[in-house]
Amino acid sequence: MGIKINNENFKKNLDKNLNNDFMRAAMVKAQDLINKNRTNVLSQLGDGNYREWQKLSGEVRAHVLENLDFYLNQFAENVVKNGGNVFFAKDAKEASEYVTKLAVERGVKKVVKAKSMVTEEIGLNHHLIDAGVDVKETDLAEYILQLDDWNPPSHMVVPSLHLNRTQIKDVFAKNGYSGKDIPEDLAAFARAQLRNEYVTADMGIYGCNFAIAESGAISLISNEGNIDLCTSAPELQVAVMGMERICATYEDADICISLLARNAVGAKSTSYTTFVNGITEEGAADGAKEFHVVIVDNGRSKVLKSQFKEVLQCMRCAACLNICPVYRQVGGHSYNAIYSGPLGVVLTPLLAGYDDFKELPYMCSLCGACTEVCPSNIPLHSLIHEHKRVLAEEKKVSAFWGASMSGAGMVLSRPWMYKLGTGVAPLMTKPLMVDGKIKKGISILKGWTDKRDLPALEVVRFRDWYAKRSKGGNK
Amino acid sequence: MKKGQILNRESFISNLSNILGREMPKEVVHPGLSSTPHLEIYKGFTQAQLAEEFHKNAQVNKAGSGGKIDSVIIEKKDLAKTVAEKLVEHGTGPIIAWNDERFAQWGLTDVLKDAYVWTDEKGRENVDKALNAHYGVCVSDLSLAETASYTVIDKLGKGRSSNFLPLNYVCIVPQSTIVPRLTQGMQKLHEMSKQGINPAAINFICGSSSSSDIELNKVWGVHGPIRLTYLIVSDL
Ligand code: SF4
Repeated sequence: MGIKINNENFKKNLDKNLNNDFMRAAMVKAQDLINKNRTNVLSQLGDGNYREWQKLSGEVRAHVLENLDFYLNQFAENVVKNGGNVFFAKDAKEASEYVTKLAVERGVKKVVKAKSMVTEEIGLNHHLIDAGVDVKETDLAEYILQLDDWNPPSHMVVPSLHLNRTQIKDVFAKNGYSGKDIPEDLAAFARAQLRNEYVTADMGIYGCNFAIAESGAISLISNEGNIDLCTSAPELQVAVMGMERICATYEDADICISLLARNAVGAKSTSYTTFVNGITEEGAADGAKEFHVVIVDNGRSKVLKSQFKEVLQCMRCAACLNICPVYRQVGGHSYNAIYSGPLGVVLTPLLAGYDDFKELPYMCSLCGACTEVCPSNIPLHSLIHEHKRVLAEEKKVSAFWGASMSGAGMVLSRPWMYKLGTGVAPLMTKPLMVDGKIKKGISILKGWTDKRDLPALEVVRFRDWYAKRSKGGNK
Repeated sequence: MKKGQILNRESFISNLSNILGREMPKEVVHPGLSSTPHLEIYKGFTQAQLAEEFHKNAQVNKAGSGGKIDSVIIEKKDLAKTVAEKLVEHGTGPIIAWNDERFAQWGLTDVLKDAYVWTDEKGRENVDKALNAHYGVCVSDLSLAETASYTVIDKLGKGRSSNFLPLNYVCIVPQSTIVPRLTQGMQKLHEMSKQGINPAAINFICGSSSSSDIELNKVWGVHGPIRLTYLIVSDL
């Protein structure tokens, strides 16, 4: 699949998604449910001082990035000590080719695979399939999407969020399911189909939440247990990781993992928190007999060099998606990329270039909610604003050329969205104001302000707005 | 490819060093954490208090899972009887257990007499037995009070598949293994790693297999165990 999920025109794609009522309702439901649980569970973390944990996590991740060469080298050495192999891949092609060649050389017929954003990014599945390898996605959502002819994911944590139970039933029906659209029955069907695959697969492929430099371990966080099954029976196992997904020590990983589940699914912990360290003991009946880690750059080193480097602190929790008022309205597919929401707005143009994704920075009201929730302490909305600056000042791209007008208009035409402010946006728009109205336009505002004046942004903290809205205020 | 190879390291790492504007350092001094809120959680709690917290949090998980997760605090003298009860609670069927001498020490030989014991020498037969097991039985190596998690540290005789394939799971949690949270788990892994011990897998498990991928409805047992019962043993 790669980073880009379709070749449709950005505006057409956005319009299509805005007309998908189920999808839009699903986004609202997901945001409300996950945020309620997230807020609750974060209030119980220690003395409830989330800001302190957020700061720590940011420090831990920033420290690794400042010394990334050292820690990746240390990690690789330790993987080898644990009996594994390491391949450093400069791009998607090198990474996919390495794994595919390995599969072909070892005579692999079937792979069981756990959900991993970086394997989506490098398009690994199709590489393997083209080489004649049978790939079984095992995460329930990914399994659904695979059966639905590789329907792209719309959310990092709940990739099939855009499909309703009837659509899922129809997808399963094409594969032998004859039951009703009851979630328990649908999941039971998937269970029955997949259990045997784990124990008959020749190869297990999974991602990596955090690699641990001091030991060479790969940590894997999940609720379903499918990742653990992918690490159990197959004799040949491959972990694929973005080069930035590393912690110096187990202690550092503790801080990050403590925040990951809470932010991703609103739980103190996922059902399974797993660390794998290379090959299994001599004589063991299961576990990896051969283990490889593929460390992927694919544009990340360019990001490390840039003013956007803090985005590499990301732990892919999706908290920024779950709080974003734009994501709430447009859904994951509108970002045209596997990474959506505020993270996608920042990361996608960096990894895949501005040409296909110049509209993304305008999918943002600069409300700052994402920055406020981000457990990796990434100043997301400032980075989005920087994209807009680069587009306007360096790339000389106007915010309101043709197609994107609609996208920006979508944001601005909703007063509740526009009214969001964090104390940052009002400051940024101050120079544009005349008599309390925004008259002059930059980036997203330009073009719109050619047609009408906008009210000045309100200085409302996001959390105040959200608390009010949660009590039944403006949706 | 030979075992234990690192490919493309030099070009990859030197590119990063260039970007970072220096040679790769020989040593990096970790600055430490600027604050330690993780060390404050359940600080100073006795083992009995930690057991209470573990139980309390398992009961929260029970409520959240519609009863799929459960826990009881018992004494060692009641362990055999309780294990026997739990191994028929959700119907009868094949049982798989670790090859662990503690079962005999704790008087469980009779209760587990029909269980298939994971025997690595038997190879794949173990995995097939795990796939068809109605119950799995294990002992927590380290238990986390904050999340009501048990830990499995990989070792011969345990089998990884035996932890994830059975339909129902019974986990014995000796009170002495309970620590406040993941922090202490990570400290233990750090200490082991410093001594060159890096077990092939370490699993912290706090629930049964679940998914919310279909319209955000929580369903249980989507791949691994559907039910999980903790037996917290106060005098072990
Ligand atoms: S940017 Fe922050 S909030 Fe968004 S996915 Fe990454 S870590 Fe989570």
